[in-house]
Amino acid sequence: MSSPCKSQEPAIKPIFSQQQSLATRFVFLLLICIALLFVDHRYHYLSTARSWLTMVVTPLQWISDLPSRAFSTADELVTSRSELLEENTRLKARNLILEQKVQKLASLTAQNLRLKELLNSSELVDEQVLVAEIIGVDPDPYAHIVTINKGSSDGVFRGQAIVDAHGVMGQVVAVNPVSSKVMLVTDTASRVPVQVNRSGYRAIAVGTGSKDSMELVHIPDTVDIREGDLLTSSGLGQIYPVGYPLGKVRKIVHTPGEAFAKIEVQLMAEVNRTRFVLLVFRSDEEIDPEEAPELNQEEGL
Amino acid sequence: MSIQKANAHWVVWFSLLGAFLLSIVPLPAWISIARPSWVAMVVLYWVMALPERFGLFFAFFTGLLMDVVLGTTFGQNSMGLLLVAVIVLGLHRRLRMFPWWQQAFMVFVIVGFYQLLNLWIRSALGRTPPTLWYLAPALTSAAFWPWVSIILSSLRRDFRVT
Repeated sequence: MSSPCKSQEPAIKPIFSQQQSLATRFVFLLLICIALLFVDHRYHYLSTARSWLTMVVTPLQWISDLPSRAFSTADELVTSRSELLEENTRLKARNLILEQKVQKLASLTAQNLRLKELLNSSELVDEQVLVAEIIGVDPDPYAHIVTINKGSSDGVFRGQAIVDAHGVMGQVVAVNPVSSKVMLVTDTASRVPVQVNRSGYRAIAVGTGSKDSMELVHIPDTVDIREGDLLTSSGLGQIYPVGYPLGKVRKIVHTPGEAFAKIEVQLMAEVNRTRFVLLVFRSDEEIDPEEAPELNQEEGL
Repeated sequence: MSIQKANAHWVVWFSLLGAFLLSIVPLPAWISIARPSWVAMVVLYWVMALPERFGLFFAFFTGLLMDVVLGTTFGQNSMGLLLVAVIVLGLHRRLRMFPWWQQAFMVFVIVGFYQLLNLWIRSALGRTPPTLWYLAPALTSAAFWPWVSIILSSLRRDFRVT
């Protein structure tokens, strides 16, 4: 039966030829998948491979972002002259105010450093920042992760804090040479150690998946927290630098019969509106109080 | 045994590229919840149309690439697409005979399985509390399927992809 068939050219496609090995191949590939899942979840062996592969597909992300980029460019092009003038005046006024504040800040920083010196404060930490642009948003609607255009070649590292002009924004969770992924504080996997600015009470803020708020967890009903209190990062988690504002307490709900209050935090950072973010670098060396006034110029980028 | 020569496979890779772009293009959150699983649909089509060329390994490696592009754990999407491919390999002769509405229904079921597997893996790895909205892409994929299949089959005919 088989020998005459072999001599002929098979005119039809051999649809049945692979049938018997289908189950074997499926199980084989399935096992590979499970092994990959396990290894990638538990260990970091695959992170280098992933970072290089991600760099290969970065152009894809760039292309997919083109439409929104084009829209914003077009938007800028058609802005009318009067609007521009108006914006210019507003920005000039704002700049003036900020400059005046910076003048004060220099002397205040110097004064603060001297006072800390007097108190024998162990560490004086200054932060350098680097501006980065958000070039992509994770397509998964349940993960609050964005891609920024700075990577390990710019010195970005895993666990680095990200802030915007108003407050804490997130942390770097994956780095490749030219871009990196940032988990925003609103992601359900995100936790920020905070401190109530007024009373100094420490707490942990938890991302809820909502776009502009977080929650404080395990706060007893009796703790001194009021609506409107400012929460700043406490620096205890070693990721977010101390002193950056996170948000304000928006709502406190005491439920009788429950041990903890439900506290909602309105975020300061415009987590889903800003396009530019700041990467915070911490230089842990001591700073000479005499150099203090120059700090502010160094920070500007 | 000489099998017919592979032909114009770049069409397949370009359709995949298009599907990848569509699946990462930024959309408002409320639309992106129901974003159709473009890559799964394209893989489904090519496995159905050319099962002797595109099978499990094709689905597996496309899934790995998807894991890289979407930043999911390695193996998550490859396992999902593997499941899609193995279902379609078993059903492709019947699927081709179905009228468009029945095909769309099968796409709903298959993409539903794919989403469900994704959901299980995600919850097993402890990523985000899943909701049933996670299955919405199955519905939209079924709604888009007639157009996807018309476009891809006309491409297949025009460029004689075999």
